[in-house]
Amino acid sequence: MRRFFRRPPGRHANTDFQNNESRNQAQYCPHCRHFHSRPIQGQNMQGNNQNANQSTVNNQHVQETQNPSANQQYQGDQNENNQPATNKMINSFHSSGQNHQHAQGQQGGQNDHHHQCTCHQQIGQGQNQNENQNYNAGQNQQSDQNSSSQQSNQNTGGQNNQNSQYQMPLPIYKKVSHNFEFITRILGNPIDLVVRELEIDVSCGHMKERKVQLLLPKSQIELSIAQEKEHEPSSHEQVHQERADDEVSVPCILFYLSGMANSDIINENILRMLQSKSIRTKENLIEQVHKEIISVTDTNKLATLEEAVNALLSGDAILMVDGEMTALEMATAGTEKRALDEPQSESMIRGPRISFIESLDINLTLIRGELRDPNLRFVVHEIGRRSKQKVVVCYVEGLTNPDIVNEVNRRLKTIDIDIAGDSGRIEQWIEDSFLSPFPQVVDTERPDRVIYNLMKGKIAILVDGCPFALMAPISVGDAFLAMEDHSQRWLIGSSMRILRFVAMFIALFLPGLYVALTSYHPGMIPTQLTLSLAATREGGPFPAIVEVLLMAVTFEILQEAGIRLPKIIGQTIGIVGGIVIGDVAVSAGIVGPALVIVTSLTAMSSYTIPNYSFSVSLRILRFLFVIAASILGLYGIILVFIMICIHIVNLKSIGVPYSGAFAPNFLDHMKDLIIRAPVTALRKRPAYLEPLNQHKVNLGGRKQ
Amino acid sequence: MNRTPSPDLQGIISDRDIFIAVVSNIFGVMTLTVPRLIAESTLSSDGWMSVFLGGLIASLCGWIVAKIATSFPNQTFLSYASYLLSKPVAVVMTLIFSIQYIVVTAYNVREIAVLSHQYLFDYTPQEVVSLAFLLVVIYAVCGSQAAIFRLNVLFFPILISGLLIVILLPIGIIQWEGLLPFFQTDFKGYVQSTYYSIVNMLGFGIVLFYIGLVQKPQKTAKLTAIGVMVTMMFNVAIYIVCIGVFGNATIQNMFFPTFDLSRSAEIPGGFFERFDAFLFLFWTIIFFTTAMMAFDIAVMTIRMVFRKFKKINLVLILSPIIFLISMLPETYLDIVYFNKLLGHFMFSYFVIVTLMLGIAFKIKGGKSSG
Repeated sequence: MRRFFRRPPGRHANTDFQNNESRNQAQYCPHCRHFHSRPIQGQNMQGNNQNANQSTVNNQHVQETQNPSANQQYQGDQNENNQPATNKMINSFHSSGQNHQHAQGQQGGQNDHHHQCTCHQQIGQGQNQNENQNYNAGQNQQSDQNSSSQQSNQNTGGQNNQNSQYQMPLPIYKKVSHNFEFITRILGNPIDLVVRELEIDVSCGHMKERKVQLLLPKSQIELSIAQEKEHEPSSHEQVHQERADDEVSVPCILFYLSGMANSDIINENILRMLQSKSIRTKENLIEQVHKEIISVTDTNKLATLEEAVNALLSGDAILMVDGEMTALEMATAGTEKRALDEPQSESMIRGPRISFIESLDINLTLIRGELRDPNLRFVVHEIGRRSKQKVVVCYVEGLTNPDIVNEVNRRLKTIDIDIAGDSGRIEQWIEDSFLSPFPQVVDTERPDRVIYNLMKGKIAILVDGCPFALMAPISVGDAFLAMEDHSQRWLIGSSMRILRFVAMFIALFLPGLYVALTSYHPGMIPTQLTLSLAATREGGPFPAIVEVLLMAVTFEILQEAGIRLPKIIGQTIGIVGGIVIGDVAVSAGIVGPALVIVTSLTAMSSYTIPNYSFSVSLRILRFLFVIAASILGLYGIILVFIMICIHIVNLKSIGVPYSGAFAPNFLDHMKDLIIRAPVTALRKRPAYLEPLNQHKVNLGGRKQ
Repeated sequence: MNRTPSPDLQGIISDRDIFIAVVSNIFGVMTLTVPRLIAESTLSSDGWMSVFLGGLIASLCGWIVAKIATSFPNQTFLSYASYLLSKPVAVVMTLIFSIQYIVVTAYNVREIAVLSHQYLFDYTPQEVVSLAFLLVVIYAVCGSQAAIFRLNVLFFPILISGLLIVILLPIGIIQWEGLLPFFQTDFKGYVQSTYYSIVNMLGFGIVLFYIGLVQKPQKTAKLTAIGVMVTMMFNVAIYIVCIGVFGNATIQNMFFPTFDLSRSAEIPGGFFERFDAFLFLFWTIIFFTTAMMAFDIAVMTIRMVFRKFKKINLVLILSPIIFLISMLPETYLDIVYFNKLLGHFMFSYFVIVTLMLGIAFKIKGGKSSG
């Protein structure tokens, strides 16, 4: 960590920063998520860092690293696994702090107090707990309050992200021109930023004296201040006269990002209203605009520029009124969305044909629309330092075990990455064992499957921008349950389910069995079959293991190519693969025809498993069986089988045993695991999830 | 209801897990060989009565032992034994148990190699087969104890169905007249065969150590007794089928009569020429559960005495010892002799422990909580 301190001032890890710093007054630091702006700090914080210089800040950073208890302020409750993440976070944090100092040193000289990165000082101070003479008591108090509120927030769980701990409120300026400059500079004046300047009519009130032209030159501002001063001593009658006379207009600015926001709403419900209506008094202007003019339902008041920029980036429109230190955020977010479609990876014949899409709102609606339970809960997390994606944990209050919910929320809070991306990455962050081949969180794109699992007492995680929902905790059996089992009558559903289990065993064992039987135990299969097998393999140059591996790898390649290729060319692969595997390999004498049956049967069987990530892991494990069979025959196969079983019973999904439905309570779960009992018999929720409410159906007064 | 994702969940099992553990632990190597031992000292099919009697006695013993252990809920064997007897006696007793279970593990490890050598591969060295098996056992023991019980539950259906196949397949080829005549054996023969039958079912001894892990040991004693009874039923059936298929004289000359049952049976459908190799898979699992629990108890008992040992280190220290012990006997006859010695030791030691604990328990009474 000390390395960063010795870095020469000219070299920065963050190049954006370097480019911006020469021309910008205000900068947004992506590492610590702060705005560093010189003039503002000069105005507001001047008193606080009179004595701050670089050496004291360095000291604080060093102390931070030496103080292990400092970690506790970043994360209220950690487990061992997340320790590295925390350290990483602190690392980046420090490096960013150092960068600032260098940047500022370069810019304005080492001793320029106002350019110090005050937020870092503040946090350093909060962590050190030592009395720091550089700061006055007020700031100390503030940082203490911050840290205590952070801790309480973490305890309650909920909407806050741990990253927001570092934020230092940067109030909105009274002058819209400053705000305008600030926002455009933070965003780098992008082409999709739409800025609309307009004026609100105030029918009475002495607004004239406070009226400031937008983007006035400095001299003019001074002039207007001078005019104000002139007006001040004027008599009471004069003011009254003015108020009666003129209708003043207050400048304001409307910002939004085109494309992110729905311009229809902005035009119809904000702009038109602002232009057509007027305000009666100048008192509490923003309140009146909020209550009387804006006709957007979800409208909030913002106090800081950071919130404003974040809201802007999530597609909301921001209205800033001159002379007010609050801004209005109007929920106008509405990007272009894909139409609702059929599930691509989990298709079925009978049942709902709708799947999740990339929009979180729509996905939540899909769940809420089917499950109209007031106890359905959505806990929102914000994940990704840069992407700030929303991640929502869904569960049913009073049904799902609260321990599961708390554990999932806790794990989600530990996520610290710059961009969350797909739900697969979230899955890997929160899973229990990263060494396991099995998915410990199951994904689906079917809302009905999510609802079915919520009703079992599980939780679902939806990630903004990803059409796959995650469900946890799961057990091995969950991978074999297709939603269609419940749509068909129980006899058919059960048969299909048993068929799937058989197919799973075929997919897992068949190539290994082929190797074991042909090379170790030819006596076990009927003599005639052995003879014909031997006859077909007679010309083959390879031992059985090589043949099997060759075919299996070929097939895997074909499969991978089939996924990557565009759909139009995809058919070619089918033909080529079919010919290569089916015919040519045999007639060329490389493999025996029996192996073609084995390979294709294995391939088909692995597709019967409804969950893709699980079937992929089975495909990998298959190779383990083949290799074991080539070394120890059937004995090797059974040993690997036992090892996989050992692995499964030791594995956990969100703290719940992965073998859940199978091992602790076998007989109770048989009804909805191996078979699918008649719906009238499925009265209970699975006990291994320990739901708060055991019974699915009303027992009609009978005892259970 | 208190779910914690931490290791607190470990070591909390239910009554039924004990039942399953008892059943899976009793079935083992001895199930394969015991028909020979019993047939040696009885005439025609009389041995089934010895098996029956032995089972009843064993289940009674199991009930007593479990009753003593359940009087000390959530306490280790060492703690309640040192309460009942005294600390030094309890420590010695625990360590002897550790040695016993180490030897049992080694015996299972060796026996799987013998079995596979006889039926599956002729050329693969026994050391390789044993080592592979031992490695899998080590992997299982390195996990949590709760996982071991989950594994038992997972394998329980496989175990039961395998035994049912063993019993039901050869029913068509039983020569019922071979079972006659009844009641020809003298008293000494009955005593000796009953002794072997009890030795066969000594696997219930695990309840001494595992009951401490049971969450609410209320029905545990009953379930232990039932578990022994269930195995007794299976053993009686296996014995009768063995005698019916082979006859008394043939069995006396077989190493693994129970395994040979499945060789002689013909599978309808004609796909499998020899079904015994598939049954070998069941037997591997049965041996595995026994060896796994024996190893686990060995580790557990040593850690009761020497608390500072880390589990993983202890496992790594014990594994080479187990492998060495398992490779000590050279020929199969040595193994048979080894087996007999082990059986004698286990029986006498178990009787001593039960008597001592039982008498002390009668005098001092149980302690309701630790």
